[in-house]
Formats: sequence, structure tokens, C-alpha cells
Amino acid sequence: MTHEEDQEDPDVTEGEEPTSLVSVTVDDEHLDSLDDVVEALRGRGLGVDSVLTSLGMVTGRTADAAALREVEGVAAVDAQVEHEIAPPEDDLQ
Amino acid sequence: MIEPGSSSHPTGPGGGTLASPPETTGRFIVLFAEGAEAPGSLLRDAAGLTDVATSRQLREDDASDATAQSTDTVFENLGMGVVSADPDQVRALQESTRGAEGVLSVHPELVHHVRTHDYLRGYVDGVGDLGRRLGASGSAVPPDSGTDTAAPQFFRDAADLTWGIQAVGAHVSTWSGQGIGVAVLDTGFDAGHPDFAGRSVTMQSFVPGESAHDGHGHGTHCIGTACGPRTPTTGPRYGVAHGADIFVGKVLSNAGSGTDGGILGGIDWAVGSGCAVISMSLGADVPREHPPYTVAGKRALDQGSLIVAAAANNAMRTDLDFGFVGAPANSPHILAVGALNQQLDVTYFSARTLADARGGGVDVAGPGYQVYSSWPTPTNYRSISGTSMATPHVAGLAALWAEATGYRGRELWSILTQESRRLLAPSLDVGSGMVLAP
Repeated sequence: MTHEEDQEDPDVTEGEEPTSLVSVTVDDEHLDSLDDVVEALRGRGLGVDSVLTSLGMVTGRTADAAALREVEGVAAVDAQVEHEIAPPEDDLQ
Repeated sequence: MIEPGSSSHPTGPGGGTLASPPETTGRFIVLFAEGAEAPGSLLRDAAGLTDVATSRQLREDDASDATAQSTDTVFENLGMGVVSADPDQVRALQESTRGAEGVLSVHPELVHHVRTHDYLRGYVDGVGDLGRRLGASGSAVPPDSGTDTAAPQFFRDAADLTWGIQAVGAHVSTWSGQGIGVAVLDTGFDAGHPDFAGRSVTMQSFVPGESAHDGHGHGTHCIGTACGPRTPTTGPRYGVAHGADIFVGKVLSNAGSGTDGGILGGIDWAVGSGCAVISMSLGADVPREHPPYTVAGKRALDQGSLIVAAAANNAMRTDLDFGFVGAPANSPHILAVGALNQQLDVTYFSARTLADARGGGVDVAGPGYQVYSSWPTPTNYRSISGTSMATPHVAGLAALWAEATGYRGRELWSILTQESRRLLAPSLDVGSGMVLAP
């Protein structure tokens, strides 16, 4: 593993900005009604990539992370980070 | 701090007391099997000990009177008793050991004093001596128990075992990780590698447009260390949990990169698949906790899955740059692994705990220098270094412990650190030390 590129912070991704990848964490109280939260997130502009039922999280893309934070049952919205490892030929990985 | 031993013992020629027997009271500590019913009657039936009080009785009675009347006490909550017994009675108790519901072991009660010297060795000898006196076979302490941390050591790859397998004691463990699911979230796996023929392998890709096949090598290397076979087709043993069920979650592309979305997807899949251990030799050099992994780590533990992650390779200790633990390893609910070399020193690249990290630092360490393991065919084998290589050692060991104890989640985390080999290196770099096999 080596370096990363921290993606655009969702706090500044508002209005007509291009979309960015986010991870949405659903709070403990809404884990049983995950589907309802997902629908509400779609309604606020989240393009859903995956609904992670074991973890109670939703990954996807949005142009307006702030709008997602207002959805009932959402604990947090975080910009996705990119992870990288070294190329195969490196001795240090 | 109290320590067993006594300064009243005669000292040896060198003035040391390490070889002298520990001071004992003449009484014995009896350990009952878990779920043993009516330990009091057990003591009576097995050894004729009739005057046994329970700790509850002692609390209910006037304490001073009760202790005066009965010397033998059973502590129900601990599953132990303290008894006065003659050698015949001790032997009778010891021989009732084999019953699943009976007595596990009998040890002499030691006298404890405020610490003046290091009496650990004396205590160890005392326990071993009891075994000899009672005619029990075997030593109470395994020969390679790692208690002598001061002795310099240098592990080397041998014809039959890699240095890492030797260092963690996987080769002398009777456990294999049988029935334990180990998920390795990485660049995938070369399922055609000859060393994995016949193994249970479940593969899933979370990288858009790529199959779970390993087009990099990193994933196949990590899976080899965590789950490689006991007897490879050629060369030394390099894998820890040779009986574990392998779950391959491809979350890094063949080019070696991936996003949170794929990694969280892989964790979710592994948790849903009932994997007790999730190994992640990946990360981003983010010098702060990344909140999604804190939640993911916690919810995984809640469901019995322990996530193990590489601390980071961002140190350059030769230049006094100690680096920092990156995400996801710096989340407090994820077990962060640092890398050791063959002398069990911290490797030059292994990251240090962040100065302001609360619970998100290096938790344990494992072999991570010049680690030999599997590589996609036709290369088949390769030695590389990194906290990425230390992590699957720990993941494989976690599978052994999961099988040996039945522990999952937080209990599994706990036993790994409790049973680890303590190191002289700072806890900032190695946490509780090197994880050992059960």
C-alpha cells in the first residue's frame, strides 16, 4: 500500500457541481427501515451504487451531499477515498 | 503490583533467586471445568474434602467467623476453589481432571509480595515442578513460549518453513482454521495456483469491469500468507490457516487501486457470508480517522466479523520519519497491524500511531519483511515486504484462534492481544506485540 488521493470534500460539493462518490451511513434507529431511507436518498439525488445491508450503509454518487444529510435516518455522508497499492514489481507493498 | 515469590528464599551463588522455588502456602487452587455443577460436592466426592464453604456463604455469614471455620472455599463466579489437601487428595483431584464436567487443573497457592525482583521464571518453574511432583506428563509451559523476550533472535526462512510461520508458531499449532471463513479484500486471487487445489474458495469482484481473478499479484500473496497450505507443492510452508474457507473479495483493480465503495461492499459481503476474519492489506494515507470505517468496523464486530488492516508503509525510520497509521486501519474498531523484520524489530517503513489517535493506533504486529508467499502463475512464489504482508499473518492467526476458542468479534480481538508476544519496541509501533498461534 502507498499513497492516496483524497477526493473532493462533499461539504463543498453543492449546487451544480459535478457528482462525487459518497458513502452514506444510516443510523442505528433506521437499520430496520433501510429501504425507506434508500428511497428518500434517491429522492434527494443519490445515484445508488450499492445498498450494504449488513453494514447499514449506501454507496453512490451525488452532486449535493448536504441534501443527503437532511434525510431522516442518515447519520453521516462521507466523500469516498481512493486506496492504492504499489505496482506488482515493487519489493515494498 | 504484586508478584509471586519471596525475598526470604535462599539465593543462588550469583545472588539471583530466579531458580529457587516459589513460596507456597501449602494450599491448592482448583480450577473447575466450565459448567461444572456443584463444585463443592465434586471436591467431596473426588478427594473427601467435606468442609467447603462457598463464597456466597462467606458473604452471607459473618465473614470473619466463616473464614475461621472453613479453610476450603469455592468461588462460584470464577469456577475455582482454594483447598487444603494432602498429596493423596491432590492426586485424586488431578486424576479426576479428564471428566468434561470436573476438575481442569490443580496448582499450588502462591504467596504474593510487593514486587522486589522479577520472579516470573520462578513461578514458571513452580508450576512445572507441580506437574513433576504429581507425575503429570509434559511441561506446564511450552518450550517455545516466548517468555524470554530479552534473548536476541533471528528468524530465517528454512527449507520447510518461512521465517514468519516460525516466528508466530503456526507450525506447532494443532489448529488450521477449519470451518472458519477468512475474507481477503485485495486484488483478487489466482484460483489456478497449484497450492490451492481442492480448497474451498468463494470469489466475488467489487471492481466494475474486472473479474475476481488477480491481475496484480498482491491479493494472491496475501491469501497465501493467511490461508496457504500446510504442505505446498514445492518449497517451504508459508500459509497460516491452511484449513480455512477462503473468501476472495476483489476490491482493488489489477492496477492496484480501489474506492471506499468497493471496499465497503466487500466488507458487507464478507460479513453477510459469516466470515469471522476480514483481512485488508490496503489503505489510504489519510492522517485522520475516516468515519465510514469506524461504523463498518463496529457493525462488523457486532455481527462477529473482525477486520484486520495494514497500518501503512509511509514511515522512513532511517530518516527519523515515523509516518502515521492511515485509513481504514486508524479506525478504533479495526485491528491495525504493523510490520516486523526477522529480528522482531519494527521495519523501517512500518507506520507509527498518530499522535492524537484515540484507539486508532497500531494494535498488533506481525512478520512483514521479505515475506515469501504465493504469486500468480507462472511465477508461483515471491518474497515482498510491507504491512500488507504482516496483516494476513494476523488474519490467519485470528482464524486459528476463532477455531480454537469459538470466539468471534470483540472476544476474538481480545484473545489475540492477550496472548500476543510482547516486544521491546514502543507500543506506538507494535501495540500489544506479535500475535502468536494458539
